[in-house]
Amino acid sequence: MPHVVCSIFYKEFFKTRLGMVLLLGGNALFMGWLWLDIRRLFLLDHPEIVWYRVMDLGQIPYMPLTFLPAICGCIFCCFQFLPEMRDERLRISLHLPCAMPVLILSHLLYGLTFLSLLFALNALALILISHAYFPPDAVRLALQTTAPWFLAGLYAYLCMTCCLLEPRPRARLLGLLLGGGLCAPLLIRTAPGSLAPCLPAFLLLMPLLVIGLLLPALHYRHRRTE
Amino acid sequence: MQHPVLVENLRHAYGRHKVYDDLSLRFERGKVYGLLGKNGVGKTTLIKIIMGFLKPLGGSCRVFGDPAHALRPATRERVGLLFERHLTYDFFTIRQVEWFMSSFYPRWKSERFWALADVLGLPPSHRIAHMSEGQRSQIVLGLMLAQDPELLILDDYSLGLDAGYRRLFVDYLAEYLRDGQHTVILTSHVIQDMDRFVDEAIFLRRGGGSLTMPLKDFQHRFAGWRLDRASVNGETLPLLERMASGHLPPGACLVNAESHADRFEFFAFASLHEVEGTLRQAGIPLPEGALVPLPLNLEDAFVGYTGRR
Repeated sequence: MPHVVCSIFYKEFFKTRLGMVLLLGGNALFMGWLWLDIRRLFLLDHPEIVWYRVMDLGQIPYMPLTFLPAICGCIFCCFQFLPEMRDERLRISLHLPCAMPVLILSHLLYGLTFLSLLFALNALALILISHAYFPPDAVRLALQTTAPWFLAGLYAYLCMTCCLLEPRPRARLLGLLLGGGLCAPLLIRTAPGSLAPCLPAFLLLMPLLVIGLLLPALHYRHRRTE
Repeated sequence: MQHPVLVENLRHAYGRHKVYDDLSLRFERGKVYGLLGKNGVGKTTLIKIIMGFLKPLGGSCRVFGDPAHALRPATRERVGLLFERHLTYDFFTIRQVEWFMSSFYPRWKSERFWALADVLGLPPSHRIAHMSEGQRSQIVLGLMLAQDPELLILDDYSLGLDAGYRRLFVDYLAEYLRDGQHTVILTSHVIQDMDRFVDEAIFLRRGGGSLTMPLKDFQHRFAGWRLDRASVNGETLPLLERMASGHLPPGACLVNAESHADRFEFFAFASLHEVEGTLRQAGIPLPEGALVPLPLNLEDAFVGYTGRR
């Protein structure tokens, strides 16, 4: 089984390298812009005022980051699965002599690994930026506030995958609704860090969704039976 | 002995459109089968079912004993698939695709792949996406032959290939099949190529009927005759037109009749004498020598058997 995972990772790397470079570059630019934006706050106002807004009023200067992970999840999914769906190339992979669950889960593992790394880099950049301008409490709060957004990015990736793999329009719509239903609570505007206690519960859904994605793959294999 | 592919009482439909009702076929080891039939008779559907990418509504299709849509990995290892338009991972280079595929097949024969790839004269670092359809067909064939499969399923291998690459493809395939150990099921739009290596022809008919026979027998036994309009009595023309529109006399030996501006054509697995008898029995007085044998190549015979429309 490990050699299957290695081989699939090899294939996925060559397929998605352009997408990975674009996403890494785009995110780096975005985080750079965020740093400049936060720096500008301190140039325009006294630090005490900025701190007061952030620490006491709960205004978060990194709000533009909210939807970025979800957008990245969808874009990466397209880079990974659209080439497979074009001319039904996924059939080549599905005929490889290995168990279908291992094959599909390896693809998903690759996507989740890359996105987790991307989001970890974003979180690291956010820590560095926050650490440069705010007290440690604000750094912790920044991580607690953005963690649900990163999780929404992973869910967006999985639900987008469901929509791309699923051949039946109704089930595709269901995948879309599921994606909306999972991402909306994580992206909703609440008090900074207030969603942090719910994260373990949201994380528990992840393995279920990953395993559930075997079903669209199975539908894809046996399609046009309805 | 286990059949590489066994189709029994297969039933499939797209909505209300019935493709097969009760199709049964046996594919024997070591033979090359050509699936023939007009567009819409279900060749692609049958190939998809055998490839395992379409689950039939009823009946069964077994590949080495496994249901075609649920092959075990060990069985999949024994089956080589060539998809229409020579699909492969075009983001890979020649070397990368060989490495990737070889990691899945324990019996991988690298030399077979490189023998075909080298013919192209391209560096191993050449990206597949930058290749022509013909070049890609060689890569895909190389990948399939390197798997050393016992069963090869080729879905319209000739699509997009010019005459040169088609010949190259067919010659390599014929060379590979020379040991007589491999079973091949193929479809192609270029019927003439089949003459070179197909053993058994399977004619699919609209509605699910089929006829399987050795290709040589088909070529030997199937014949066509022309009947000039000028050589028959004008009163019999409506009768002949009716036959050409599909209303062949019941129980007759005729398989098909075609109407042209200056002539009629009749096709049958029968002798001239039998066809003359059939036509006379149907009320068409034929002058002596009015039926002239048609020289038929494989494509002519195929069209004669299935009809032009």
